[in-house]
Amino acid sequence: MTRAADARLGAYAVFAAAALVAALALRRTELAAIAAPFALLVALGVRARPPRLRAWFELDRERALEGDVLDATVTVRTDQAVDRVEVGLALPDGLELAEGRNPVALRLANGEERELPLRLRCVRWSSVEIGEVWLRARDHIGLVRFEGRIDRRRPLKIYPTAERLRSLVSPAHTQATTGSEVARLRGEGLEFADTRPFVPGDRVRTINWRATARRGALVVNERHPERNADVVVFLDSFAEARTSDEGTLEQAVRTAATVSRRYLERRDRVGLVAFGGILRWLEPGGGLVQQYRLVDALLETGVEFSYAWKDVDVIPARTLPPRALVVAVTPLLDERSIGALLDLCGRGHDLVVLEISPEPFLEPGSDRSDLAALRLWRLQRAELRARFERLGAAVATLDDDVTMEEALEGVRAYRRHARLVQR
Amino acid sequence: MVAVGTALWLAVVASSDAVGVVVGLGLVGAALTGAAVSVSVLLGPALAALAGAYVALLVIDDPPLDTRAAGVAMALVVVGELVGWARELAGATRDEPGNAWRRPAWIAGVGMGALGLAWAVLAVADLARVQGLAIEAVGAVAALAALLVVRRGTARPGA
Repeated sequence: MTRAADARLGAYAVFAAAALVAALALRRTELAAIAAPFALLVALGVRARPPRLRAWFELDRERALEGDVLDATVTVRTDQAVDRVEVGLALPDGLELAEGRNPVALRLANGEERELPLRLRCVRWSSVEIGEVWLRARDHIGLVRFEGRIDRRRPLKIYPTAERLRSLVSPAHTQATTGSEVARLRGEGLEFADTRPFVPGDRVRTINWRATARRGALVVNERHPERNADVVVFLDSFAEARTSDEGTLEQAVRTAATVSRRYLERRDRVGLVAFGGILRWLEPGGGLVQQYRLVDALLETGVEFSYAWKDVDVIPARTLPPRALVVAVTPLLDERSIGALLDLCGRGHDLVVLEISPEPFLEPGSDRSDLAALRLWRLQRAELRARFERLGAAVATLDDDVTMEEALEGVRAYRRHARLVQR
Repeated sequence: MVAVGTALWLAVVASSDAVGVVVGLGLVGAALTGAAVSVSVLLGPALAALAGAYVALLVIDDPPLDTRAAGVAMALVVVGELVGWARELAGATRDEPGNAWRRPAWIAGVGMGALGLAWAVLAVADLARVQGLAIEAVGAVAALAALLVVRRGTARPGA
């Protein structure tokens, strides 16, 4: 433990010395009498010895969801009596105290062990380490204190809560393996597609007997097979708009986690590209393991400042398989990510843009020039959305008033309309 | 409040010649004491200003052996300890339930101890006053002790 002097120690020592010098200079015993208590306090105060303190930290689990409340216990033990020891648990970002006292000042007897129960609320998704306990002890006089940090850190992953989604955006193309998405092509499946004349090799069970009776020739049913799709979640982490509490990145990660989880539940293969100052990627895969991989990768995502210009060429090719649906979650604030998305459109990828609106995090000025600037900025963003839509990419804007379900319904409507035009 | 009370008390007991200086220094000391709660480095000047008011009283009125010095010593110690307690209360750390009374009790005890010690010093000085050079010896020993205390306080642990 490190030794630190209280502000009173210096003040008392200097005051006592000055009073004694003044007593000699002025030949007044009264000043020596005034100095004596301060000198005695300093003499006794500096004799303090560091106490032997130990601390432990326990947490009831290592994974939690946003909004969960965790039970934690800080245990302090001393081998000698301590008049006052302050015990504090350093709370990382994303956690706040729900119940208990932190920090708290204790009085410990000789050999006493004390447990401090705490309840911690997970307020924001994150991957953190918790368990750094700091101690500050002092004796009765308190002119010298002893401070120390005990590292009992352990990892804690706080997963983002998934929003309820009833339906997703159907990809334009499906893959070869079985899934939950009704494919456009025809083959073995459940969904009726069309009828056609019988050809040798067709199964008897596919014959449509009603149509055969009407036409006088054998007619068979054709069906759409159920296939899976490749989905790549493109998370833009170049820039964010934020206030002290919340930012677009938090919402973007929640949105990405919800979307990826729902696609994985449909047995689709889902990959991730976190496109920002640091490029992170995860090749498409399926199953529960992939879901944990995706969430862990999302938790590592942060806005890393970078001047480097990046485009889609830096993304490994296997991360963006052909005929994959790319779901971009972006605040549309950085030119590099906008350029990369336009490039993906140009290269024929099936793109959906989920725009995390930065407007709730803006505080526009009140004078006319500020308002004019805000209008211009909004016009620029509207033009950017129109540009994406001209290239065939639907843009849905998520903000406080629009839920993800509503935004995705807009995307589905756009894509139905766009297909009709293409035909 | 204690600092203001000390300044007012000194102003009341001071003669008409000294009252202006005593009140001025006392109020400066009280203001510095209030500021020392947030700026700890001002505690020393605050104590010095309050003591300066008493020094002005001693120099101007020149009483033979002023027993009020014990009261001044007690008041200054209580002021210093109260500033320290106020700074602790301004922090985020809270005492366990049931322990909150310990600090005021400690401050009261220290104040009474300071009063007794100052009385003792004055009593010794009064005894020595009639014995000539004894007061010089007491002063020299006290100054030497103060220097040793300051040196020990500033020494690094283990050095």
